[in-house]
Amino acid sequence: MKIKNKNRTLIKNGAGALGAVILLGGCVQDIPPYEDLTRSSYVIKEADEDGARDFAPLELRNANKALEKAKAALKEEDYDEARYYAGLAELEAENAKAKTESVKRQKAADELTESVRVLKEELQRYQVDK
Amino acid sequence: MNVLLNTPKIITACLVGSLSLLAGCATTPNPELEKAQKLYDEVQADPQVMAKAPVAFVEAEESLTELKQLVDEGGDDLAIQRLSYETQLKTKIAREKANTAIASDTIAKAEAERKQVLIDARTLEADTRAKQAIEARLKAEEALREAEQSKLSMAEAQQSAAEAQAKADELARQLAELQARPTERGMVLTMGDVLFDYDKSDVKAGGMRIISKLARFLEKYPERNIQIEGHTDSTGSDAYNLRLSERRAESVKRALMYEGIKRDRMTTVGYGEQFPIASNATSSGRQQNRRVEIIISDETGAVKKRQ
Repeated sequence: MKIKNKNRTLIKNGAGALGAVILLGGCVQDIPPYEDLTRSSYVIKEADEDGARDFAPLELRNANKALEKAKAALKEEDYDEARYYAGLAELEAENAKAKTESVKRQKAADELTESVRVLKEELQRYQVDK
Repeated sequence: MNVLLNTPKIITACLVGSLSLLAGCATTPNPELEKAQKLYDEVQADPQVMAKAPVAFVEAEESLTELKQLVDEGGDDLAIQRLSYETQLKTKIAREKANTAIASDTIAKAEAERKQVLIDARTLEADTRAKQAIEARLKAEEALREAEQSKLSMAEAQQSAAEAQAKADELARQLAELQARPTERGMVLTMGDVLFDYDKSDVKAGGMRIISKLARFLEKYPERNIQIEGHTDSTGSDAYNLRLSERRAESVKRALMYEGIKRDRMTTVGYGEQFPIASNATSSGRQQNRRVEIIISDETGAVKKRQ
């Protein structure tokens, strides 16, 4: 990621200022980022399967939007943008997954804590009865 | 989406950034960096995040450092905006991962607590059962004690019955001692002449002892009645002897009544000199003839008539 960001920064800077850098950027742009898109699609699918639609719908939507942009950029052969949005989609999907997991786990914790509380209460009542 | 919406702003920031650079005013805070920094600071304030999600947190930290560098280097605004957004996402991910780990800890703790509560419940159940068992045993012991008590009192009753029987036997034996002898008319008790004053009907002290014993016997056997018969020797007139024998029989009856025996259980008769048991020729024979015979009835209360 670090290197990618560096590259991106360089590309942007280059696009804004030096024509020489366009050559370097052109090299990167020559390869369509299919892998990046495949990976982000996969992580989105994982998030979906985890239940992100219920537990992190906004985050999942952001991920899908970013993936769509990556696909659109790929179509326009803007590989650099496609690569950026594919990476963003993956990160958004990771966020959706993390939130889904967190909400689910918290729910389970709350339910278990409540059941223990009820159990304790029942035991106490039983003790009082005896 | 954010990228698209923020595009005009980025262009503005780009222009402003260029101007700032030109003016040498690099210290102006970058709003994108500030946003990322603010969120990062919030998350960092909770030490749990670093403790529970160290990798995600360090990734967010590295991203922030990179962002700072980019800002310092005067990177272009779109790149800064994008990196800022990425930094914020990474920070959020660290936060969620820490939350997940904290929830896991809560679950583990609750699980252990639940196990303990179940153990407590089982222990309590076992205690209750043990208590019930003890109560049941105490009850059983109590019942056993009661049974033994009743057995004992039954034995006591039997014993007292046996004692009573022994007493009755003793009385019968004493009656036998009184020389009550079995005859064809039943048991006959003879009170000799010496138990009466001479020529009188009053019963002497020695005779009273016999009467007392007889009374106890009659109390013991209420179904038995008696006939009291007076007899004399041949000395004196028939009329006088008849009268004396009647009076002596009456006297015994009165004495028994005095001892608590009802009058309707006793009949008296005077026979005078009619039924001698020895010769009137000798003085010892005559003495034997002067007597009162007490005939004890059978269980129906009837006394056989003299033939």
